[in-house]
Amino acid sequence: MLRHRSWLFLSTLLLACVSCPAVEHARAKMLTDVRTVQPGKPFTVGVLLHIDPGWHVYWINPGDSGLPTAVQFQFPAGFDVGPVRFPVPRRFDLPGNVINYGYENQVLLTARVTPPKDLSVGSSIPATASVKWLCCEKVCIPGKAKLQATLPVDSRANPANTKLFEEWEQRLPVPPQRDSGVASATARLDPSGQATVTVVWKSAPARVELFPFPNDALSVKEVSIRHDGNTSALILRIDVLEGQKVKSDALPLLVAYDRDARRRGIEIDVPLEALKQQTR
Amino acid sequence: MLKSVSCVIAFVLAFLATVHAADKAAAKIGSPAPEFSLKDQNGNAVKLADFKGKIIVLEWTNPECPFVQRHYKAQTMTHLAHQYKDKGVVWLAINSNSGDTTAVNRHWAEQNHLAYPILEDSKGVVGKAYGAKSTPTMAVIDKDGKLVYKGGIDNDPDGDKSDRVNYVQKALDEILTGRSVSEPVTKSYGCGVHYEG
Repeated sequence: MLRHRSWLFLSTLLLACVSCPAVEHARAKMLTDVRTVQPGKPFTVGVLLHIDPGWHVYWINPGDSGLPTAVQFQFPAGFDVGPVRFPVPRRFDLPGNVINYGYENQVLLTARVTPPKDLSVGSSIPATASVKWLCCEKVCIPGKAKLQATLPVDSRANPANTKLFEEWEQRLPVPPQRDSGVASATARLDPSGQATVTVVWKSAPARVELFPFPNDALSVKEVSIRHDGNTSALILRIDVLEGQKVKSDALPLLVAYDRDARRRGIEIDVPLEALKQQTR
Repeated sequence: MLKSVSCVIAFVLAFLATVHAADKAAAKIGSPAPEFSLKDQNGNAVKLADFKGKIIVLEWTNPECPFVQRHYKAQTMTHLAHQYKDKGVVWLAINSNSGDTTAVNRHWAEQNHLAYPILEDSKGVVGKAYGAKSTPTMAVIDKDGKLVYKGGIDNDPDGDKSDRVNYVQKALDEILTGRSVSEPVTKSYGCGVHYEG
């Protein structure tokens, strides 16, 4: 019988790396914010990527080159696995106006998981995380890993890796209305293709940056970011690539900023109606 | 007064620092393709003007890039170049990575038994003129010397699509049958081009 908590903890983190080819510059680990699964109680699963200094992996929109990091979590039937969340990335500006969005040193990519209510205490839950990435410095090296974990079911709450998960949770972009530092945020696109995002902050933050989400039909160029007191005006040019059709109703944008020495972000949608009317 | 002046200066500097520099020189679809003269892997000068009146495919390549390596293993470019050579299409590979010498290009050409030249653009002038930011990036020029396609080789970054579309092949087929290119611009995927810093 497993009595010691440390044994339980270790067994929950038992990572069976099913297929991990010689990964030179990034390593993946699967973690959860619980040591045990409680029936019906949501928890968070994540892949932690450790990246060698000088190298980086990519955000969901990698920018001018690279490949988005892709993660898939698999749990047994009955478990509801939410979408994978990407923390606020950083921007890499390379010579020749080559811009990339991604992560260096470390990144935790997570999903919320809701277990079914009818789990028997003492049973074990198998979980898999498949992750694929492109790790670049001067050269690019693709990498992938298939990780497994087994989580016992318990009726009591047993948190794990709390600090790590909390830190990365705070770095996830949220809708403006859920950010206590934002008074208001609006976005509009005029038919000429100029998009203006206006954010009114409760107090002006530092290092405001813009990250567009990916869209195959659009070319998105940042024009300017201006600050005036507590208001930031971010101006972009959004053009439909010739021969492409606008399929989505909105283009999400991530506005990143520093507050209390932490990197945060809000996610705002730019409505694309004005562009759609043009291409009709 | 002084404080507000320094505030204005700081504001202007911050504004300038965050304005994204536009790709001023990048060629536009429908415009004349930028002229160039580069040396191939054997030291021969190759000019775009040498092929006036022909359909030209430009391929930005990088021997060290896993995406390029995957395509060369699958013979994507070499096969396509060979297939359309008899239809009068000229294929030119360009290496715009700073530090990649003619010797690097020659080695790559020999390794892959290339029937087309690799042009050395280590100063990045031609890459920037065409706005090439990743490898592989492709450009197609029509018989009138106009840029009619710029973008990726296909829509399959992971190389595992069963319904993959090769954009260059599609563009060439359209041009050769007198049609306009239906998808003139697509997003490229791949490794970043290393321009001189």
